[in-house]
Amino acid sequence: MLETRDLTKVYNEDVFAVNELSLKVDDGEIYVVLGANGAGKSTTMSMLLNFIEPTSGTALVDDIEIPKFPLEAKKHLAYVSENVELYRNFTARQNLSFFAKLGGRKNVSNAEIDATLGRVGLPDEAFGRRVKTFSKGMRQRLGIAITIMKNARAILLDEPTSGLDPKGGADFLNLLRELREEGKSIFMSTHDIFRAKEIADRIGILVQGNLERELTREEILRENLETLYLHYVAGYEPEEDTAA
Amino acid sequence: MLMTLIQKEIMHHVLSVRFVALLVMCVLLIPLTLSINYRRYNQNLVDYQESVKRTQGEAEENPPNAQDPNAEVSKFFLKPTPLSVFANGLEEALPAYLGMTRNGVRQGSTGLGQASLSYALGNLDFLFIVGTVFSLLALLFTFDAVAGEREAGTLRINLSNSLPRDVFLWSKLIGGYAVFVIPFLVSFLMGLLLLVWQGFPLGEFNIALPMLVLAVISLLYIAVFFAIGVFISTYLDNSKTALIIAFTFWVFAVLIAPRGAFVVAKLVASTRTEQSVYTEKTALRNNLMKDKEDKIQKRIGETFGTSLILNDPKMQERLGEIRKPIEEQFRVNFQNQTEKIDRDYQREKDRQEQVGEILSRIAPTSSLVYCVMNLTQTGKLKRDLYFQTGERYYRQLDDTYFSEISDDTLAQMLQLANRGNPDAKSEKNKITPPPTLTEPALSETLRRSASDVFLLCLFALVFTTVAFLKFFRSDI
Repeated sequence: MLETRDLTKVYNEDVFAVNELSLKVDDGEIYVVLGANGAGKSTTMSMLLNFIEPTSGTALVDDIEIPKFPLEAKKHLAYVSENVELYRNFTARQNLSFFAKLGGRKNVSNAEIDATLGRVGLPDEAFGRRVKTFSKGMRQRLGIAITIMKNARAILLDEPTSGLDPKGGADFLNLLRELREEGKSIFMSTHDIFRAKEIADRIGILVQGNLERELTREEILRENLETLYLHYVAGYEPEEDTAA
Repeated sequence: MLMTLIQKEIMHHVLSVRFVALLVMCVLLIPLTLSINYRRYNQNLVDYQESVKRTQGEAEENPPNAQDPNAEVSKFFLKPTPLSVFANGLEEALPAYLGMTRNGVRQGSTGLGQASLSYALGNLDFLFIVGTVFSLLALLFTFDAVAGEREAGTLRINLSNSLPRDVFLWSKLIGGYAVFVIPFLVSFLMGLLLLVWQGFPLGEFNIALPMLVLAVISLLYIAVFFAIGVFISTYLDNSKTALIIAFTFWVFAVLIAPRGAFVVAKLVASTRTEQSVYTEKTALRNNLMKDKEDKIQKRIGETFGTSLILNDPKMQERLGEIRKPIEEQFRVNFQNQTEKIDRDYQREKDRQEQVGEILSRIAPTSSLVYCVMNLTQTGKLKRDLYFQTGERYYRQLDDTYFSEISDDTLAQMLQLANRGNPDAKSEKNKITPPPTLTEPALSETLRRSASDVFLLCLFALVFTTVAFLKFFRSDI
């Protein structure tokens, strides 16, 4: 459903932000890309959304080449950023209504808006409140509500759980599970190894623009993800058990 | 999609504090200044009418002594224009009247003489509100158009949809402009209604049409600052930085560049002072007079010796014949040389002003000011017309009146001898009354304003185009 083929972004002719990245996210799958700051996660995300042009390679959604047909491709993409600020002077309803229309939905009823806001776990009293009074967790829920409303087949999440409290994080993952059940392809970038392990069907470890390792669900459960991550990202080697 | 975005943009602005600031500025400032300036115009009109009446009365009762080359034998007053309600322009800086003396045209006092302190602080009129206040508000409306959305992350969310970038930027321009312009136009209309209620002749074609053009040019000027704001915003990621840049730009474009241009012009093309020119002409007259007196004395001495009887009509006739060619030569010499002095001085002043004017057009505010002053007949066009009419009037007086006056000793003696003669024509009757200052034709006004309108369009177009190009090419 969502795919990158040798996707590369080079800055200043020799700085490889992303280097020949090839991956595929199937329908009903959550693909988590792990990496340190500057590993190329956000650049990949930006290329998938055509915010920046790849130097070479391509990305596809629903077999539509994103760099060639960005407007057509974006009909199938929804995006939640790290800091979902939205329009602070608008209420949750107003924000959702606007982005639903922007996402191509016509004649969205108030009932549907309220139902979507309820589904993502926002309390009723918050529907008519201005977003500037919302906590980060509430804004993230609203961001997910926007993607639900768009009903896109692929969802891109850029560090969505950073700054969320444990309950907020857990609720957020539940929402993602629901979306996976609906057959959405979810591509998520994060630093958060624990949440990645909890939710991911596959994990890719990105180091300086290169996809160093890809793990299946079985491998995720079997291996020590933290150690593995530190190994790739920081060159950390686990100490031998000297007692043994 | 564009409509959805425009609606969002309108709502976004309406819910913001800056919209409240705009409303307050519009509703309070525009009608208030129009009303106050209409009162000022009425006061100026009364002053003008009284001055004309008083001068006529004084001329009847106590005719001017034409022998005195500095005496103002007639005054050509500047009638205030009703359109000055919208822009004071140069009206207060122009002399209230042009006094006609044998030495040339002398300028009366300006309106600034009594109000120099308020002049130092600047006029509060419609032109100031649009040129200074609204340009700043326009930048406050647009500085974060892209930078703010980028900062809040909403730009990425917006563009993650199937939304062309140009549509997004157009919505910013159109939506913001609509929110800005509607209160402005409503307040302008309110101000006009208030003026009509106070008796302003808005229904007259030569007032209504310039008003319409004035409104259009104001909208164009606001559009220029919208384009500049969006242009700045597309280049920056941070709205605070964008605000600082926008404010700095505003200070330069509105406050510094128009004034600085004329400071530079004074350095590049300096001129003499008005007073030094007047002194030069007076000195010239004295020199030529002395020369003329010497010639007449010499000729009389050669013709009559010491046997001169002034009461003898035949001898008076003979004296007249001797004096006439010398008098004519003096007049022609004086006229030619003063005209040359005036021409040279005018050329210096014109050049300096031209340099200043051209340089000042680097800022759109200057184009607005020139346009509005022309439209409201308070600008350069009116000033030139005023001085040209004054100059024509002076030449007319010179031909019909000043040329008849001689101030050599012999002529004064002859005048004394003729005093009391009932056949002598009274001096008052020989002075042609001042002409009426015709208003510049609207077509001429528009023709003169065309370059400034073109410049405003160019500013808007260039900044908008560059903003779009930058936005198309930038990474989100």
